[in-house]
Amino acid sequence: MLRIIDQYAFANRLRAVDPIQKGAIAVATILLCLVLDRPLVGWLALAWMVMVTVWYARVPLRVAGAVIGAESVFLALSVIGIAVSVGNEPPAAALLAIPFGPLWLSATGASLQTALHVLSRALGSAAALNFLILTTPLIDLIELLRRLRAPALLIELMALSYRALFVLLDTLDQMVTAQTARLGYASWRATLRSSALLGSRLFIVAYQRSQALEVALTARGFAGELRVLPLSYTVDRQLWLIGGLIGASLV
Amino acid sequence: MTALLALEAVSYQFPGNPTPALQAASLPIAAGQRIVVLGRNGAGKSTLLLVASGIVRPQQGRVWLHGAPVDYSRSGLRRLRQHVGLVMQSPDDQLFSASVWQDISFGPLNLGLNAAEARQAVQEAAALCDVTDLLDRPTHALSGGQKARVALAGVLAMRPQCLLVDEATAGLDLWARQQVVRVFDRLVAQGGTVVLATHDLALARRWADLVVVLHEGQIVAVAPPAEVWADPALRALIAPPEAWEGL
Repeated sequence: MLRIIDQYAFANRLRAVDPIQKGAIAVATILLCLVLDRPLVGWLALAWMVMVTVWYARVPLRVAGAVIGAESVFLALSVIGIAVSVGNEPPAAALLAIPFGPLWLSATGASLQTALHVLSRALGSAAALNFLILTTPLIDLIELLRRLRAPALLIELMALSYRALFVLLDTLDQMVTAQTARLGYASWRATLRSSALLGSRLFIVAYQRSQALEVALTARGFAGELRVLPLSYTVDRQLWLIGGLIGASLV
Repeated sequence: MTALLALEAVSYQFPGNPTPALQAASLPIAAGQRIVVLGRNGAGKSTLLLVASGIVRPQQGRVWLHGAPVDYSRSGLRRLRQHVGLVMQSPDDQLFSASVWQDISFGPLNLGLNAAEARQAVQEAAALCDVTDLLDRPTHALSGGQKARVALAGVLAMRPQCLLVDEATAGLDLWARQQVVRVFDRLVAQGGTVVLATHDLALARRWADLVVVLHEGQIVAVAPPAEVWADPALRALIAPPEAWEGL
């Protein structure tokens, strides 16, 4: 999923749009979901953000749907605790009451309403964040942080981690292939042993790569700071208009 | 004539290693040369390049740049990096940024160029290495050949007079390898020098002006390819007999 999100973040129609613009729309939507304490705002924000991501940024519906779908499952599981209460007797106003041994699992109209309310706010905010993630590669988000004057050390760590992640994922793929070819995952015991070896080997490879990277950076004049040129972006006036419309409709 | 870069009786032994990686190695490197370094694994090729680029400080001997000994202070090393670039064996070890544009801009900014000059240097290096169309791509989405050329561009953006290349053509297909060699040729045509450590005998024969033969940390020959090819003793130090068939 990480590679797919990254792929579409680089390939969507809003790739070249200034991350500040996309970030502003996403953050404003999240704030509206939180501040305007009405369930309809969350559902509307969810619909708008998925629509902008799919229709305007041209991220395939199956990708945007898979991301929000996965988040929905986790969020729905989380709000069960709000909707359902456990007691010795079902409340008089319970809409649903299920006996569970000596206990009763019950849900009232008010608890269901609260759960749906929380779910709508969370999903609306998640969809706004998905819009940002699916349309903005991490290098642009790092650039955004740089422009917002985030600490240089944090930015450098993020940039190096992001780059190293893909190099290590490739290495991991190769190692797993090599182990599989030698029956490394043929049984439960072999799987355990291979996984342990894989983890330790990957750690060593990561260390060796960091040393090689240090040599390469030194050869290019590294003096304690990863200085690079800023990236250039465009401003999408239509997106501002869409953002304004979304804001107005939520309010 | 003063050599662009020269190693004088340079020795280096890695900590914990019983044998020296480089022993009393001397090598003058003139401007406009195509030099290939040949030798078995562990012969000292990478160490030679690390010493020549100032990454590793020799325990004995000296490295000279434009007739003056290399000064290992911060400013001295900065001067060395301005003239001598090092390209690593694996581009993944060199490309630190997720953006091609930003990765290439790293070296020029470290040399103290301002943003406009750095931008110009990035564009020139990208054109030299045929990666202009890759500038807005993420580094992790590049093919092996593209990564190799971007890594080259990252070093060439610093406009070095001497490029040290550690087996950067290994693992590339013939087309990608040829593209990289074309970049070397362009650099030499502009008056630059390329020192390439490789196991590619065909490339050494066809491309090099001078071949350096390394064996167990010692430079045993510095000669044109024809002379090395004609000497059975040198050939035996470089590769088994079968490897020379048809060359």
